[in-house]
Amino acid sequence: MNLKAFYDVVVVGSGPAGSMTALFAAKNGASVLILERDREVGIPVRCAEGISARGLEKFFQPDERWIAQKIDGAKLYAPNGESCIINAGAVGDGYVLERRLFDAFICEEAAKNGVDILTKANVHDLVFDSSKLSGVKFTHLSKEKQVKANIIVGADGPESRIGKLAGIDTTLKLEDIEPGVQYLLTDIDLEAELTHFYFGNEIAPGGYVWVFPKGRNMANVGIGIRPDRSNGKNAQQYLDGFIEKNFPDSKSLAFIAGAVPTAQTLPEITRDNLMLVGDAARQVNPVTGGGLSNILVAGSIAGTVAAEAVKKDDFSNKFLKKYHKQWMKEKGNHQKVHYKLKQVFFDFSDDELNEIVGLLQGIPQEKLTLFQLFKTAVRNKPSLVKELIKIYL
Amino acid sequence: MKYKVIESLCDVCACCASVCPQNAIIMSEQKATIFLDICIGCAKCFITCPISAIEEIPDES
Repeated sequence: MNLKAFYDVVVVGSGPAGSMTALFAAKNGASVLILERDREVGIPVRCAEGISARGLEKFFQPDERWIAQKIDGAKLYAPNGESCIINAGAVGDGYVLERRLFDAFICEEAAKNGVDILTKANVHDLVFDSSKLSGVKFTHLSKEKQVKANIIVGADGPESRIGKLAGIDTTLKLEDIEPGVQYLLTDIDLEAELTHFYFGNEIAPGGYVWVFPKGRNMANVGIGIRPDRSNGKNAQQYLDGFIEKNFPDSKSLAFIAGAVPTAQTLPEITRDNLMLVGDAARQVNPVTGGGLSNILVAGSIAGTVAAEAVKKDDFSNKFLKKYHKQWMKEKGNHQKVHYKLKQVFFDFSDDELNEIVGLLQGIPQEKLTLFQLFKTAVRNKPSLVKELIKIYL
Repeated sequence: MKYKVIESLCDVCACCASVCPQNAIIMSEQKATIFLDICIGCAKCFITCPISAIEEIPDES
């Protein structure tokens, strides 16, 4: 494959943030190159793979090639083992994806629109022409290379080397990261059309365990915890303890570690000739750590704005900030609310969590909505009312 | 006290690099590397690693 020496837009990272940005930039007329560090797009999968139907269908028609399981509700488990089911009517239905294939599908769509993609390309530095950001340096198959561009997009995950190289402070505070691990387990016997969430300070301090069914008795079983509350145990030890207790006969087909930034969007996600998208920009929901639907939105906005910049030949921070503003309007401001909720929710004691699930059990299922859940949580923890008032005022 | 990555355990999840206040950790496709000349020994990477693939380097006495 022949790469050009110059592109309108160079995207670092081929996850959904990067590929959506590339797709939307290319669709709107820009020339785009994606550089991916790994050998193949879509792997490794560091994700529980769930997405709401609404979030997915805003951009793509569900395709059986990359859908593992349809989901129509969520089951919440208290520390004492009691549980309640929240219907799809309350939370909306969703899917568990085959992210490996889904990511490849978006890259394929991008390629169909003219995007060039290079794997095994490890970007290690930025190129500046007298202080103007004008490209990236990367290693490809042991060779040093560089490519020039008017816009560099850092879609390079939570550590965002691109952001750091550009001088943006991307360091996460310990309360704003959930280190996690996940097994793909087989021989899991649970309701396959529900996602399952397990809470408790002994189970997953500052986080939760998830079980996302993938059909055929398989499931992603993972955990995220707060590192500053982990009492000297790592995420894997917490999860191994959980599996030993709950699924002792299951077998593991895969294991992976990952980082979930449960923060708010960085104060700065654009600079002259630069945009950050996805985990690099901190765009997931800080309560759930779920991010895919947010990231699809972020990438679509970033790509559209990048293409507009190309048409106007204006790559200034002032122009690229349109992406930041649009993102805040569509998702970023909700994320602020979710961040507040995170701070309250993960401070509940086990007794309080037991009580909340107990109260929810008393509500008839057809009436059990997300609103009821929050109302119950608020009744249980009056200080939450104050927090909610602060958020909405 | 400074820290180093146990390369055979590292899963390249980037938790460590995400929390390093010094930007002293670089990810490659295969592993994380901690640059000791900039490491200040804050231990954030050590407590964040989900699989304990980071260990202390004993102080030279």
